[in-house]
Amino acid sequence: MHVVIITWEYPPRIVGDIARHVEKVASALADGGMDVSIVTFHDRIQGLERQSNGVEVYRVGNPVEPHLNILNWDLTLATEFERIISDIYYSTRGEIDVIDAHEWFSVVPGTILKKALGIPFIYSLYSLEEQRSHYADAPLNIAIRNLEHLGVCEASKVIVKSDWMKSEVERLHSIPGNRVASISPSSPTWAAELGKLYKEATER
Amino acid sequence: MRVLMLSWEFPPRVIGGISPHVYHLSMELAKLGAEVCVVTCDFPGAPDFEAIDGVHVHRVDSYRSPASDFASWVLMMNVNLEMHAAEIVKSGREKIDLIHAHDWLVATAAIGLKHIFRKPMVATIHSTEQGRRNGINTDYQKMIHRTADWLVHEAWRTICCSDYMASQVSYVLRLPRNNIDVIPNGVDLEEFTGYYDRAGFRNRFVRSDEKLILFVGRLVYEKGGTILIEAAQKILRSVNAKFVVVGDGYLRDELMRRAWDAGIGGKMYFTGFLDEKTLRLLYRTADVCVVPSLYEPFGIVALEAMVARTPVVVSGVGGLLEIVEHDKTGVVIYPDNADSLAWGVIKVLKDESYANWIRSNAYQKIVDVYGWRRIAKRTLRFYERVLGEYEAGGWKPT
Repeated sequence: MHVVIITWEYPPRIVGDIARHVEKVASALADGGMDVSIVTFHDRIQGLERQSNGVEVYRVGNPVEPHLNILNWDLTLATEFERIISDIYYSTRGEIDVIDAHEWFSVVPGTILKKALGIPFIYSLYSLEEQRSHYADAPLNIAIRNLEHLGVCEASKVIVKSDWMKSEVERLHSIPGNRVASISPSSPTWAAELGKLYKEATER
Repeated sequence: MRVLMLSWEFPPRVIGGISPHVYHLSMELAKLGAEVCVVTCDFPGAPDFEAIDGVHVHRVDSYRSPASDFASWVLMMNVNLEMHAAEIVKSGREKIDLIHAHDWLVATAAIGLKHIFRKPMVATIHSTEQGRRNGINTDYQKMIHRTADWLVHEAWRTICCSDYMASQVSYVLRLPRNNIDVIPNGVDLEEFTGYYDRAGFRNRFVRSDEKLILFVGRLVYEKGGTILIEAAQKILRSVNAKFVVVGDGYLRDELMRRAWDAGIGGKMYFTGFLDEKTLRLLYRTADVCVVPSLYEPFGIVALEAMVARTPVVVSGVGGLLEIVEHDKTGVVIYPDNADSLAWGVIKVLKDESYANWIRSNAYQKIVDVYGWRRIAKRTLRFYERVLGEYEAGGWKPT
């Protein structure tokens, strides 16, 4: 099983909680015998790093600078993520079984690769724009909400970290409960649960 | 040859010059046996899918939510274009050998599709942000500039419409000149033929004893409207004529004021924007068409006048110099020089045999060089070259 995880932060780039969390996920999955590739952003360190635990980290820069807002920044970076993941797909490394797209930053490459190459994708959702911006209605918030909605609708499964977030996603995006899985990072079996969800996604 | 065209506008959605360009190019390519599939933005009343003479047109939701700025809208619209293109190719509904992107407006979709399907992508750069704004001055402009830069570097090869644009793209976007091919814009010869009531039509604009001097262009600094007003005073001393000024822009009020101050307000007719049909008839009925531009990437106005068999007087700048040869297919005057412009116009209006010589030479040149069929043939050869390199290289998936 080969999983590609898309994340906008991964150590040494640490913006919030996602970087450390994805690092933990990647290493647990690798220990469980899975092939793990991380595709992420860094403004200076770029290229492929093979970590001692077997995790491959591909770091790219943003092809366009400067940007006026986080949305512009994300959407040009998304195309660069598509390039890297396509290169992995067409290389001798081949075979990508599932893509795990973390947060709205990763929704566009996740969705497009699914539509173009038929790779199933999981949307790991940490928080929603409604919560972060208190239901603000500026065009920027609306665009981010639209991307989150796209991810929720297109992913084979949405993964959240708590039952409360699960109910929030179901409420705000009106989707059936069986599309959202809550996996608590404090649960002793979280890595096994995640592996099971990946497997289910590939079996569809 | 199966081509996926990406364009943000396609008729009936017409915002600038890209829409008619992509339309005519696609139609002629199809006539030459290419399979063309256009993925473009939607338009009220236009179907989501239609086949026009063999060209498949897919119109995609162009992102209807409000956007904080034009570039944000463009990027969200690109997500929709790319998703739709991915779907139709994956499902086998459309088969493609090559992707053709028109300008930075479809950059992210084109680059993404190139990589996910591993197909060669080519780009046409219709104009540059540097040229449109006369410099890159703000972060917003820089972002657009960098996006175009990224597009041409991802493209297998790039098309520009004139040698002038090719050198500008090469310099401004740092692209090796030998990565650029020059294929001009075309004009539709058919659109300028057919019967019309010439005298009746002329009456809407000029008196029967007046010559009609036509100017078509945005009323902005680089199109040379101020030089036209200055030259008009000189021209009117020796010829009875009326200036019909088609187009609009921030200089309109200023130009009108200057005309009235000079006492020639009654001889200048500012029409604003006109519909295509009226404009084409104006081209045909005009006695001379002037293009006094200071900056001109291509010069479609000169081309349209020439196909309508109207003599042109153009300033020697940019793409105009490549279209018009002095004393053969038109009159080339010194840029930013009212005396020179007046001299050129008077010469054409007073010497009928000279005007006729220019008319027929110019028309012949258009037929030989700028017919869409010829341009489509050149584009097809360009595609074949790219595809040949792709097939022979190691990037193609095995």
